[in-house]
Amino acid sequence: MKECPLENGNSAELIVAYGARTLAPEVEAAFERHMSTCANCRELAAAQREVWSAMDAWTPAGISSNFDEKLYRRIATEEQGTWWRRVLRANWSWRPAMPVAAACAVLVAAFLLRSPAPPSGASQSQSQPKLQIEQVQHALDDIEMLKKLGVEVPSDKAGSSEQI
Amino acid sequence: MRARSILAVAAMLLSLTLVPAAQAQGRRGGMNRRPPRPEKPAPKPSRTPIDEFQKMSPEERQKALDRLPPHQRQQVEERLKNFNQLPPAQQQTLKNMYNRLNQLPPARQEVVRGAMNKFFQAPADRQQAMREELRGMAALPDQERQARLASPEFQSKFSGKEREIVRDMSDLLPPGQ
Repeated sequence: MKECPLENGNSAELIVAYGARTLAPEVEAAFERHMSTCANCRELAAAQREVWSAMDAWTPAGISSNFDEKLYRRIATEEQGTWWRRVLRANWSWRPAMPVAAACAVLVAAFLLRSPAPPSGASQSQSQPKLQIEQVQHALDDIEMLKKLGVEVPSDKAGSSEQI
Repeated sequence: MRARSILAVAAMLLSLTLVPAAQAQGRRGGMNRRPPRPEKPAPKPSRTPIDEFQKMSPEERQKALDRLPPHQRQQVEERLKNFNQLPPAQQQTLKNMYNRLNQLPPARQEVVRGAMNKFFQAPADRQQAMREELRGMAALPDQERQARLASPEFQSKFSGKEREIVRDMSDLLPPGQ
């Protein structure tokens, strides 16, 4: 091994594999030769070996004989919980709910728009006259022109006459 | 399944939004509205804007007049005063003719107004001839009015332009008996 693994960026894989004893024999031999001259690699490799040794020495705690029974009982208890707890714990996806939410929003908007506006009552009639004065002007124009015609015609009502 | 649910929601929303809109359009006189078709025109003529104006409270009248420039306001007040000084029968006659004019389709109203303008441009003796013709036609039933307009006497008595004026202005006459 010509270069130090710490310098060429391959140190992590190499040192972990060395600690796990999974390196190819010739690579392991080359790395050990390098470690004889590189204190840093030697130190890291020793630390890695200690981790593996500690893991080899650890023994997991044994499980109780009725572990499965207790597990299933707990699952059943969870399933019988209140509906809102199940809802809250459910793995929600909001995507299907979006059209329903949009429909509700449109319904609320339609309801608000269709609701008749409260009558403003007298204040509106006082602020703006119902009849536009221009309509009166146009009516006067027409009536004055009709008056100038000077046509006398029978009235709409029988027995009387219209005098222009 | 999901697509069907969305389609159902969309159809429901369309029905909720379009149906009230169509109903509102119908109330406003839209295409789908079935127009009321009374057998005969209402015997009581509708009120004119002058009637509406005179029915307003003094404050409302003043507010409406205040929207006009001072000289126009003065003109309107003067014209209304002149109209109110006419005999009641003449006022009613003028209102009846006004209502007949304004119950015509807008395009026809313009034709009749144009005929009146041409009438005023005619010489006084021709105005008098047309005036007398209209008075005579007013006494006739509708069918006889049409017959009169097509008669050789009418054709010979008036020029083409005058015949058109009389024909257009006959829309102002009360309905024939």
